[in-house]
Amino acid sequence: MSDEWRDAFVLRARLRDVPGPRIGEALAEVETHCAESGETPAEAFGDPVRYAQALADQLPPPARNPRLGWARVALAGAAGIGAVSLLLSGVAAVSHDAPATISTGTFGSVLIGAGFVVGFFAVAERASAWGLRWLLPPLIAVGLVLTALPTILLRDSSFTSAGWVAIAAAGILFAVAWLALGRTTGADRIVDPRTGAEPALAPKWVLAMARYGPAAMLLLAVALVILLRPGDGA
Amino acid sequence: MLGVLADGPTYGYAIAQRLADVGLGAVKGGTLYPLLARLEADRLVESSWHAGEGGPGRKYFTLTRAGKAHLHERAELWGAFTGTVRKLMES
Repeated sequence: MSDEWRDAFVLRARLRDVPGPRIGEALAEVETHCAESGETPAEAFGDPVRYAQALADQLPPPARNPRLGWARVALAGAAGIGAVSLLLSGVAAVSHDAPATISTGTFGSVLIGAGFVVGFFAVAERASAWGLRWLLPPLIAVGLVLTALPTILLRDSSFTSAGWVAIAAAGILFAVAWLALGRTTGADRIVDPRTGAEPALAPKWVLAMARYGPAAMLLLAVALVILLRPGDGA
Repeated sequence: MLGVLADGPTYGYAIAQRLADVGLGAVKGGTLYPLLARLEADRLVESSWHAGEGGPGRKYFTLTRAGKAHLHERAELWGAFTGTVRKLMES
């Protein structure tokens, strides 16, 4: 099964809130059927996005909420970008022994970033299906610039807080982003019904970054704060 | 589909082949598995994975008691329908 077909299928199924075990079951069906028929997934099952959509539409209403996947992505995007902004402000504040300032531009960045993350996922599933994944890195670069612009341009201080408070708030927002993407729930993992193992859906370093990235960034921030903290008059 | 499963537990690709053999054309995986999932959701069919002999393993589908009753009922209705059409065509 090609990575492109599988990734596009999994992305759409996740975004339509198809339970992980059902996704694993469907992937195993595709793999075994294609192994026996000699067809490619595209030949036997058609467009991956449409097939995932058909599976999602088949689930009974209580098992899924069609818009929940997109809402989670938007929430994760907003919380993640808010967390990074707060973390940077908090670390800068603590290292300079000054209060952390949150500007109007930060809120603009959070809104634009959340919209960009949703748009990115929407493009990503089509890009995978059409073999246009090379489009994604430049798209990320454009998104990062657009997201950062409000913070750079609108620097008026909307409100201030102690640096440690900003870092703690960043930690909470990281946790929200993490939970929104369902990384820690465990119960909804995609599992191969034949082996009970999780299929390798992405390079290991990508999965590791998604799982441990927020916690690592928070630890790094705390380490920076400790290292850069002004001396206690010694 | 239920008629194929009436012969005993079997797996997706074998069902597709059987349907093709009896002249129903090539049923693609994208049509077959969602239909089997719907039958399973309606409790007419149940499934389980079995290790393959050197292959990737197979998902076997079995007709349930409710599935057999449904097939019987459908077969009777279909028999009555085709009988009526035949009478009309012959008259």
